[in-house]
Amino acid sequence: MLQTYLKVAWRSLKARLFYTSLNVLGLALAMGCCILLYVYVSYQLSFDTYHRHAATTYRIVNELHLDKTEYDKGSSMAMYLAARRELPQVVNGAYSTSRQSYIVTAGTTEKKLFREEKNIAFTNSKWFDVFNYQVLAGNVQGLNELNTAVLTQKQAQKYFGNTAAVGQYIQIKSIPMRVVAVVADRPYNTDQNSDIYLSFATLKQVDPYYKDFTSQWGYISSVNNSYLTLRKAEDKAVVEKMLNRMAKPYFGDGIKYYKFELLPLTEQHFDLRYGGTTQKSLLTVLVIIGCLILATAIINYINLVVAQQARRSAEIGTRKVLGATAGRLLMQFVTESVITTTVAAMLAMGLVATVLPVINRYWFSAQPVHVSSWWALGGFTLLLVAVINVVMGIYPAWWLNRFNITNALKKQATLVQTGLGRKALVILQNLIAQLLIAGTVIIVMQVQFLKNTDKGFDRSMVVNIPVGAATDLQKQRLLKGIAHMPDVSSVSFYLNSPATDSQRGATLQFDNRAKWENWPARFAIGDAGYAKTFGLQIIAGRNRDSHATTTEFLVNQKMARMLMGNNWPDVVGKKLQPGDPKGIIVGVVKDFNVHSLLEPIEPTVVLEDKGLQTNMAVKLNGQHTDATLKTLQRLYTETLPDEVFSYRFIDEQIANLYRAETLQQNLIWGAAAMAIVISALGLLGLVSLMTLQRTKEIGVRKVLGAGVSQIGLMLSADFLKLVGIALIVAIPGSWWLMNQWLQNYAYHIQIHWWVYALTGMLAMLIAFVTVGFQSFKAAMANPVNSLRSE
Amino acid sequence: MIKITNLEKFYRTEEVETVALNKLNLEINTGEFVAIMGPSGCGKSTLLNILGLLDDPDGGSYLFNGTEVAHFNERKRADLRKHNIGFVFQSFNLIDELTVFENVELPLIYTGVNSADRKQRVEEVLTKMQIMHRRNHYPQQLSGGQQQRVAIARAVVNKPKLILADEPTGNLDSSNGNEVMELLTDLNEQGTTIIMVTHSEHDARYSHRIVRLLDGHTVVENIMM
Repeated sequence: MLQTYLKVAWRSLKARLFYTSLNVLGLALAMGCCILLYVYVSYQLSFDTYHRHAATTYRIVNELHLDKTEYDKGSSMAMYLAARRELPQVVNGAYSTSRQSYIVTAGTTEKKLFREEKNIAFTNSKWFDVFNYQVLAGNVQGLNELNTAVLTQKQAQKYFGNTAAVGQYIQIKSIPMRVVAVVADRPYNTDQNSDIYLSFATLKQVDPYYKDFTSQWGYISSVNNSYLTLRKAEDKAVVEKMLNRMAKPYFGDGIKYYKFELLPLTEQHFDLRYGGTTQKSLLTVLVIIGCLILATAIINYINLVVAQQARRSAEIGTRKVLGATAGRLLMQFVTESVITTTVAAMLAMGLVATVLPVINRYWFSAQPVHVSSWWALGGFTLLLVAVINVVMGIYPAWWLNRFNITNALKKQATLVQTGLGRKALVILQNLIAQLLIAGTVIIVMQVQFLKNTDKGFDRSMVVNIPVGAATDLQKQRLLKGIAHMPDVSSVSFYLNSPATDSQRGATLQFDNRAKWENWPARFAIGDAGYAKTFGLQIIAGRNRDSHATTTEFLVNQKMARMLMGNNWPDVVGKKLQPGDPKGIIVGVVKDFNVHSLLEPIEPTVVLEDKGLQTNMAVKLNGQHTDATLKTLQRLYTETLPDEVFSYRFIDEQIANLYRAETLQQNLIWGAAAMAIVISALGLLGLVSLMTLQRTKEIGVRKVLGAGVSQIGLMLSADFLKLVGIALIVAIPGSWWLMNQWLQNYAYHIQIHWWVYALTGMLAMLIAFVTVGFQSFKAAMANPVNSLRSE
Repeated sequence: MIKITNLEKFYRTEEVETVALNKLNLEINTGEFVAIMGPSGCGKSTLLNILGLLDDPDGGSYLFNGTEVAHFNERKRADLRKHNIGFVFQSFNLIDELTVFENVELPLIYTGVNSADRKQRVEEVLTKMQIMHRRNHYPQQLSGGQQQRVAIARAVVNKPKLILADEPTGNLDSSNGNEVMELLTDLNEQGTTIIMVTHSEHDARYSHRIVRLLDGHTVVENIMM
């Protein structure tokens, strides 16, 4: 029996090759999309879930409740040590100070300098106990001794080539560190970001700033990572309570602003407040988009099945007369859909294998996506095939159930209204495509806006060059050298540019007020050249003087207003103590954004902190850029022999802030393209069937004098009407949805009417091109042939 | 074999009720060859559909071999149909995707005959219908006469007691039409009861008896000699 089903299904699919191809292609594209989205979503969900006790491991984080709540993923080592020592619920734990940048000296015969950016961590062997690492050589226990290092394989190879790294030395700030172990490279699906692990005991030597580190409860920084493994997950609440209680004596009155919490290791990747990079809501949106695209393809399939119902009803009627039961007939339909979907699934897998490396290269270059389990992927594909078949079987089952043999044999089944259901499906399909088109246009515009808008500063032609721990003398020599370069318009030694992802800040005391203000200000740290280099506009007072004997500050207008309301220009000349330093406000600058445009302007102080000014910003005039950069490099290597020259345009740095948005833009763009292609395939199939069924009508109309264009338009108009209706529904839906999305951004575009005019035109154009060709082909046919064929 | 009494069938649309069969009485004995004639819309096809258990009546009684079948449910009707009744249509109703052999085999599959027996019986009947040489062709590759011979082969392969033919020569030229009528006559002579709807007086002459319908009533019964 099965053989018969297969044979008949195969022949019937072959006989309608054109429609079969449309179905297979549509389903393959949709399934390919779903599989890709599955790969992406399952990859994101796999982050750091594979560690031994991932389910019971937590990161200590805190909320700081000032005017506005601040979230910090960091914690003090003192708290970590106390928790390990005093809480019986804590069975294991690890601590590191990560994201450190140093110049590393290494090599077998010849010593070389390597600039390591934010991939160095100080920790001990516990780290490798809490997190799964494969030890390839040596013993990580060595990391508990002074002046030792553990390297990932990639890093070991970079320093020592093929020579065994264990037992070799690397140097940081002239301190030699013995490599005690090599571990496998970190997997793709982890948020751990270190390649070089130095023994914790060495931290104080490398950076004296950390000397009282282990006993200071207040030393909370986002680079300090404390992880606790609990006896069981239910202990979380108790441990959180205990942490807050233990902290009390050390924070005094200040404890009321803090709330210490435990963030599950498996949630770390998704909690944007604590440095997570992927919103779970994005994953949900992607799953919904995947379902919608799949729905589009299934609609195509069902529409074509319905449209061919007339032709098939005679066959089904005959089979019923000959004794076939409804169940057997349904099996026939199901066999056809199983063959169609299986072929489509195979094509989809091929598609995914081809496309994944390409999108990894262009879309996910910063964080390539990997298949987390091929078995799971195979299982997902099978499930997809099963679900599609069940959904696609519902219609034939319903149809066969209310099937009337006598009508079928009279070929009257066409009269079982072809209309409403199919029209609704076409409208739905177009609605999906149009929502995605409008979404794409709006997201592209918003991302462009984010990337290219400077609030109150000017990023163009500013280059960032890290100078590490350059001394004052070395900085003077650099400045002197640069003074002779005609194409450099200004220079500044600084910590953070406007629009970055990390800032410092503190609460402050103003003028002669007794109380400190209850809101914190952000710091833009740089020397007197900062304002000119980043194009800050001074709107009251003057810029800071590099030779001033007292400490001078600039504040932004927002801060001036917060301090003195409408008399804001009067802040000039007043005393200010932001955190530790005391000084005088000498000028007010126009508001500029220190964060990304996701957040509003905040009160900001521009101030000097020589110890932190580890970068040099150079503003070029745009002429002879390459030559200038070469000259800069020469000057840099002469002046700073222990550093490695590298540079990056601020522009790129800012674009990096919007990586998540860029990714969303690409994903929705891809989804929209898919939805358009699939719904176009569906329209193509439908219009060709319609014209086939109306061959006689077309013939009669032509005989009666209708012109080609009249008939072509008549046939197209039916479909264009449906596209139009979809647009009417799409406009309010999309306007509401996209406005919700835009609310995520402090600065965003307005949705203009023309976005929808464009969407509508695009949708109409695509429908017309698809439908028009078939319609006019039918209209041009010789009526004699069409009438005879009936 | 068949006895219908006061059979009624109405077609309803929103505004009108059309009477297709109006208290029709008819008896057909085993081994008869009956032609049903009448103008378009007189209820011929409706009668045939009810006789073939494709449709159910709105009133009256239908005894098939002594059993009341007028109110059989779909499953029972299908069962009775596939074991007792063969159908021949004006437009052949062969399935395009199946070969000649497979089209004829279909009723046997649905009645659960095993594959070896099926092969034997299909070959037998194809040989008898002189279409064996075309066994692997598809319907579109055959002439109209050949297609109708395949359709008849399919109707008889299950050895039904009754064949219902709805204008079996309507789509054929006269020589092919005559061949089909000869085939039906042969089957009748071998004991199969045949009821045929036709417009053609010529074809009707092959039957034993002509039932003329007018507006759902039996008008005349001519006995042919």
